[in-house]
Amino acid sequence: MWQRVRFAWGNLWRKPLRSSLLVASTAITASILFLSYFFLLSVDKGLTASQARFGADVMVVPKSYGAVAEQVMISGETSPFYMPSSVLDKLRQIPEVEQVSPQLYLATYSGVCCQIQGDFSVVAFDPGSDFTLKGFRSEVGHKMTSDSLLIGSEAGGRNAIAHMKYQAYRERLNLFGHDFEVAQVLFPTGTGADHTIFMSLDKARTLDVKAPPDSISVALVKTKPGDEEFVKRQIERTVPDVAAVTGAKIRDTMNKQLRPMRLLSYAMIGIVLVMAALQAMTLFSALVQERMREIGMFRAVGAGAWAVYRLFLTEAALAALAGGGIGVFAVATTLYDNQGLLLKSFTLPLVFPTLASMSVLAVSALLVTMCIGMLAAAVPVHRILRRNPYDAIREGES
Amino acid sequence: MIELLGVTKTYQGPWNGGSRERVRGRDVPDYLERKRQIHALAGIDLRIEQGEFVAIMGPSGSGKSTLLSVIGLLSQPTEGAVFIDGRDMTQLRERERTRLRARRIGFVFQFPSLVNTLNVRENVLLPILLRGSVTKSDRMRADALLARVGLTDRGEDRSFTLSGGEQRRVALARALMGDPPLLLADEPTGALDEETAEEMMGLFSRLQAEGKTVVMVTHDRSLTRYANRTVKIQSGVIET
Repeated sequence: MWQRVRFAWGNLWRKPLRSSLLVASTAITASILFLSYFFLLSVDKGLTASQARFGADVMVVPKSYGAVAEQVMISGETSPFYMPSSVLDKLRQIPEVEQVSPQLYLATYSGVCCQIQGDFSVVAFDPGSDFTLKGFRSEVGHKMTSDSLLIGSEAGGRNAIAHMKYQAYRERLNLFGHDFEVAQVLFPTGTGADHTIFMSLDKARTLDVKAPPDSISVALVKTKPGDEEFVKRQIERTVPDVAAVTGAKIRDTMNKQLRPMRLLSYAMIGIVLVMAALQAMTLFSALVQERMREIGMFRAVGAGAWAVYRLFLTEAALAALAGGGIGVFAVATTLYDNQGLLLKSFTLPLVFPTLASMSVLAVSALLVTMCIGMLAAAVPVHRILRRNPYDAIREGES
Repeated sequence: MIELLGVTKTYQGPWNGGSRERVRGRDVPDYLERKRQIHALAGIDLRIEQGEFVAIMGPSGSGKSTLLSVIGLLSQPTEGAVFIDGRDMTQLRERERTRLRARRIGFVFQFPSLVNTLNVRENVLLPILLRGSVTKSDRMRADALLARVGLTDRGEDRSFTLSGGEQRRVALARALMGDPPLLLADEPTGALDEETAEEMMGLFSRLQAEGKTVVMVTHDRSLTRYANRTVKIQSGVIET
């Protein structure tokens, strides 16, 4: 096996320029493949996180605000309405309810946050029970404490995100007479959350805020799968003075809107793959054509068609492995090193894959590139192997 | 023993401007009939005995190499039959023909056929390398063959560092790697000086003396003295 690999590697570099072009071509293919899937995965993860924001299966608001509840859910903007926090206990008593997380509207802050001037909603949330903002929070930054804040991308988050991984970064904000430190930022969502400054509910209760004591504005509820409508009816039946709205319809709408974008992305990847295959095929056609006499000679000395195939497929695989490896490594390291910059530049909610996912992605991109290279080599070799060896030798001489 | 009966080999020539020339006995599409047919071999009958040294002579384009390719199972005749040890080779599938080429036939080509990226020993081992893995005994046999063709201690050299004569000798050693009973050589002394050509022919003679059948294509009349028999071919037909 190693003898054949060494032989194939030697053959590959008989024509250094052409082989370099082949390697460069496969490097580009692999890098495009890796890059495309990396971004698709990041966007998908980001969108999943966005859905998690709306991912409250049911949203509970004071009864008098029932008419605007759906709007609140879509906009992600908590509004100045209040209900007693005892509602939470009642909600938790419903067996089909898995999680409940409150949010409390505190005020609208007009001022500068992370070099951004504007009016930002200040909302309190419970980091312990939160399941909606969790998917949005970037991995970088400091640990969230009662003295720290979470800020939306438009509330200065964009300016801060590139710097959050540096522990030295400290942005402070005075709210309700208390000094807070910006601990983390949220990825862009395109919703009201982007313009919101979040603090912990426990801390908010100790501050001099306008909200009634021991109140909440909304309760976000996660139900058991398929029980949304049932839970909504249960809430309206058993909890007085509240209105409930489900999130399923909103998620369906979002998925429908995103489907064309996903399809377009996959189509683009498909086109890139076909182009890469054709390009590699052209290069291999020329390479194989030049070695037609040699192929005939191999057959004459007793090599079967499969032996010749195997040799050329090994050459193609090696070229793809070398090129693909270079391409994937270059892109992966560039992306890894510039995560902050990318997060800042993109308006889409990006959540980068983990190192393990990136490795799987890299290996997959490499394997796909190798398959393309091998397929590209197989086609012209097959064409020559259909001739009898003597004709291949004769044609190779001309 | 090799026996050729009525072997005809026809090639499609360029477009013939519409004149019809039917290929005898073959049902070919109409558009092909309008192409000029080139008869490289036209009804060849030939018998070569085991252990014979046969020289095939003729001018360029007479069909010598085509005849050698048909004997060596490198191409199928358009018509006729090729028997080797009583078996009709035209009835075999390509896989079986490949196997026979590997086990029973050794080729020495007219063109430089060594692989530049391999060293001399690896070139001798090429038939084994292409089919599978090379073993220690294969390497020992390759070294023995190199010694036999007078290239002891050259096994590690790159093939392109050898002279033309040395390269032909390596090609001969490669042809002998599978210890085939039939050795086919197409102009094995072409482009070699007289002395080197004599050395090469001496090797073929010794191989014949050991019982191998040697069929050699040449246009050099002086080399026919090494052969038991000379077959002359002209325009695809054997001259009597």
